[in-house]
Amino acid sequence: MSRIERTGLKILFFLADTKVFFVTTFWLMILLVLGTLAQTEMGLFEAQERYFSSWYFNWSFIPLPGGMPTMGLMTLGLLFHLVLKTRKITKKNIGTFITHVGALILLGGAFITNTASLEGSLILSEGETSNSFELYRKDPNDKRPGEGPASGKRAILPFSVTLVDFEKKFYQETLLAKSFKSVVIINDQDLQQERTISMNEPLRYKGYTFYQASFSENSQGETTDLAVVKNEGELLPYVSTILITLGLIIHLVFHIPRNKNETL
Amino acid sequence: MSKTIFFIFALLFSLSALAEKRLHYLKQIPVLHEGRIKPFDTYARVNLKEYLHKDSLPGMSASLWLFEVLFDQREAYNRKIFKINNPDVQKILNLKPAKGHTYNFIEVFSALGKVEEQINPLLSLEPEELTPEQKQLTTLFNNVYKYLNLSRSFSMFLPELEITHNELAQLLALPTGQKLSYFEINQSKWRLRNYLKNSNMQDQELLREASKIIQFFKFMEEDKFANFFKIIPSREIPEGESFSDNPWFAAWDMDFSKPADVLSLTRWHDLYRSYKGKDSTFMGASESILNHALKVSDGALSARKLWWEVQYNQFKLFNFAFVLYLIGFLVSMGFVITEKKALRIISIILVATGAFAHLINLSIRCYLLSRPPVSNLYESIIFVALIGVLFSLAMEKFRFQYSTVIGSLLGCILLMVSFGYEKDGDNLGMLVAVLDTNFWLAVHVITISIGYGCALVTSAMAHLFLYQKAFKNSLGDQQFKKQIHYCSLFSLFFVIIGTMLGGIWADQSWGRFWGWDPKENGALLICLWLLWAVHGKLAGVLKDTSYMVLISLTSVIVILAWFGVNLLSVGLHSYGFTENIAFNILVFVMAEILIIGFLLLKLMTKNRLQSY
Repeated sequence: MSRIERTGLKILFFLADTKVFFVTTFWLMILLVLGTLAQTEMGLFEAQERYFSSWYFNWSFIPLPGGMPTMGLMTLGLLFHLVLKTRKITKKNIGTFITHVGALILLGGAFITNTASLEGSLILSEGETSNSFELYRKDPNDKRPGEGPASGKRAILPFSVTLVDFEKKFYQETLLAKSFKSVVIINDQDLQQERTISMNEPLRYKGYTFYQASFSENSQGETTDLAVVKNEGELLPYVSTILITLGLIIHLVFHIPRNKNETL
Repeated sequence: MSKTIFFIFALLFSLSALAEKRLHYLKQIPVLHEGRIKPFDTYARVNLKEYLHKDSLPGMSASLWLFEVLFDQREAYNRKIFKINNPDVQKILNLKPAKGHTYNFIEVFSALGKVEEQINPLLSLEPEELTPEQKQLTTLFNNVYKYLNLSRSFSMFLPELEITHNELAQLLALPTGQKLSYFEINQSKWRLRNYLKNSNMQDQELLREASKIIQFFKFMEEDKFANFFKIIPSREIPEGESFSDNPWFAAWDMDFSKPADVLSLTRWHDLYRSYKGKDSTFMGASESILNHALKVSDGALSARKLWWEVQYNQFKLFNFAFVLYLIGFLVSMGFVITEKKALRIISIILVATGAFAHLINLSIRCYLLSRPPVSNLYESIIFVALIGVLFSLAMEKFRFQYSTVIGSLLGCILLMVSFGYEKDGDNLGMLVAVLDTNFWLAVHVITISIGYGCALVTSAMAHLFLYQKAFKNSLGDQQFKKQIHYCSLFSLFFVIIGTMLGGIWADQSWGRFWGWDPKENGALLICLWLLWAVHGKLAGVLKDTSYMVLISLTSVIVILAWFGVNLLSVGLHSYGFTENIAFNILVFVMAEILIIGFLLLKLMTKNRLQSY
């Protein structure tokens, strides 16, 4: 084994240590608190870009690691821990092993979402048709015109959407919203189908998800604001949730503390 | 002697029970208010609570009080029901300090009339722009207006006008020598109209008398503003629309020239007339109103739900549970001091009975609202309290001696906090669209609330561990340490799964799993905190004491994530701002830091802190 190989291996083993997790979690908690508090001032979107999906951010003039390197290091640490430190799977550690695989998938999913997903909004008034939507800004330093997170850039949909009708309901005698609903027609080549998008019930079509984000009203009529998301890693959190649930249950069942006078 | 006292009490009790029996059906009559169809009883309590901050008067139920407001203003206007706590507001209104700081309608109404010019400009301002006194003043103004509105709801039934002219009375087929109401005269109005149309030989004197009636009608119709009390359901529901989406009407919303509209008021008129009459007539009249509403709703209203809601209001099982927890706590403290086994068993019975009542009431709520137990902050407090108590009781499996100390204390504190939220009107309220029933949302909120409850219990156990290590001559029970560690993992399970289910809800609803929303971050913070402590222990970075300190501090993290997030009020999850919440959180956090800091200091001075 050469010196370089040995140093490499040393680094890998260093990363595989639980202490790496201990340190990164601590830093992530700090980012979480800073990012959450910052949302009251700069809004949800900007705070997220500054603290959670950034490589670094400047605290007055000192650059500090952002969410990317923190969670990246956490992911690498977990990966090497699983590869290098798992010797034999026994009744005692199978639960934690499954849980950690689940956590790895969750973190991996987060990276895919962060790098390869499209997010934006589609604003339609009644009767209007569109085959593109406006993307949200990805880079916080991008100062092109556009309101809030809107970037001014548009992404093309492989089909078009027409708003047929927008409906809102309030509880009787109150201004409390009961439900919002947009009835749309999807025009995909020769195929036309009417679908409904309502609060908590988005429309999924060809990998795109449309959900009811907001609406506005003026003398011309009603306008619906649909948020559009395309995410390749959409399934990963589901897999991860199942694995983590399973792993933790197994671990908890195999580790119930015995009562006094019994040996553990 | 004691027998006599017992007899008197029994008599008093049965008398009040009799008076309440009379209201049996009245209490269940459905009213539409704030988007929900609720029984008369709830409506009465919500209103009274707004004025008096209490849901009953001494010796008088809220329902009876509301009935009096609607039908017998002479009595009602003299009841002291407006609470004005603030001496500055009393001074502005020129009111003398009164016993219990309560004033009657006449006092407050005339006092407000004198400062009307001062109040009017305030009414158009946002609540944030007002000083506390100004806010209380405008609230009082709105309350008095609402009360006045309510009290005129049935003014068409009040006997006000006497017809002295014999021929006119004959023509209208109405009696002379007694005062008649708008409603009664209205039913004969067509006779007058016919007379005016057909008769050529019109009696001038009769016409003069008749014009008095017309003036009276105009005067009474000014009460049409009194339309807050919505008790008449739509008669016809358009095809494809649900019963609850259709408007309800107040008595003055009715068109008095339409026989069908008038007919729907007859039942209320009967009720009004039977007010001073026999119990059976009164109950019959109220039952017929109730049955009619149920019939019109065509199955959309459930008689059973209305009945259960009245029982729910009446028995207040959360208060009962609170009392049992409180006694349970005292008894368990007795056990801690005396170490008598019997006391421990009594405390278990008390706390378990309390938890049973707690569970029953929570189930009734779910039944009444047809939704899962946790959908707003108030409900989450009650639910977490129950989980905390049950989880502590489950510690009996580990033969953990102080399970009831922790369980009852947690139950007491959390229920007390929830009582603070009950002041905000109807606590069976409706939800905004985002938070309305959704499977994933329900599963997420329930799971994470279980996590909160377990984490709080675990934190309390860690406090106890530190206390034992600091004050008792032990190095910390190994068994106890393992149990606490297991409980942390158990809490971690629910918090992590709950958080991830929240992501699944978000993905199902908005197509994104995670959005760094404050509430999401709060939940994640609890996960990370526990993960940090657990992994720190595993990596050998944290020794026993430091680990226990971190687990103790979980309570602070949970409270910040649970309540603190509402202070930020950004994002979809903030359920709305509640006053003083920031102060209470601050007090809690400071207290925790002081307690844990004190225990740690004590440990260090005892040289028990071998290493960090």
